[in-house]
Amino acid sequence: MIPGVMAEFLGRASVAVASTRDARKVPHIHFLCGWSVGDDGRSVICLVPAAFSDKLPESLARHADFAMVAEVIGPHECYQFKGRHVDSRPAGAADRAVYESCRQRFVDAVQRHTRNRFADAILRARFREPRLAVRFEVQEIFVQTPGPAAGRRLFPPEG
Amino acid sequence: MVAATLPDEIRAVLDNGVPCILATCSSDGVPNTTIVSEAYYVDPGHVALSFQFFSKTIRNVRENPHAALCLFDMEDTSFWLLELEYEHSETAGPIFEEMEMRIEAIASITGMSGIFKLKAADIYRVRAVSRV
Repeated sequence: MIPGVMAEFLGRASVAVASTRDARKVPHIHFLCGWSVGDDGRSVICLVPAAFSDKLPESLARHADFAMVAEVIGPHECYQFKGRHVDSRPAGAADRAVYESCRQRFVDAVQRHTRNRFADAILRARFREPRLAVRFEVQEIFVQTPGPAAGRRLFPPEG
Repeated sequence: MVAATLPDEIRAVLDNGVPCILATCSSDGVPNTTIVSEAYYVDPGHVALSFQFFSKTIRNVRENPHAALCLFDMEDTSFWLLELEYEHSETAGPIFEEMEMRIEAIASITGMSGIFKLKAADIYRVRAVSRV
């Protein structure tokens, strides 16, 4: 199970990006437009826009390794979730609330952090409509907040 | 070796002060995603990234040189995706000194002065560039 404090963190995070890899072990980046903990409490569902989902299901079917970094913009609270792909499906109406909630947190956090440097519309447009919902089972969580604890595994606990 | 040339318009994106995303992969095939404060333009075929801590990223690119970088163009909401290959590290010289100065500037702005110390400037060859 994803620890409660980490599930709560994902509900606060204002940006998240995933990476996968291909047969040559070349990494690929997927900017996410939404994320949420699955009903099973063990997985995370990532919403991926079209520009970052080309051939992604086929790639994940062959190479299931998945890594997602999420951050609360401003205090730089940041964790990496690593695991294995479970399944993928087209994004639909049921994903709308998660998409809009994550997008609003992103806009609010960037505006707060940059003192309204950007127009709201520019920031909202960064979160493009989701095309794909990718679910992966979380097997490890690492601290990535800058500082002495960066790199430490939180889940399962080290030692 | 396949290489690509960075277009001129990407220099403003590299300098926009917005953090970027770096992905690497271990030799046993596990991807790793990190948020990095800045990537540095070296020449039309190379970028530099800072090596400040012995992190998973640093270990990965030394065993598997492939990397991917995502930049955020804040003028038009597009993303720049760079396929990179780690070439070498520099611990002195103009690139290192420029990066060291900019890292200290970012650290002082974000209240993290003294936490970050540049160990090396990691130089990556650009293998492909796309804009989405």
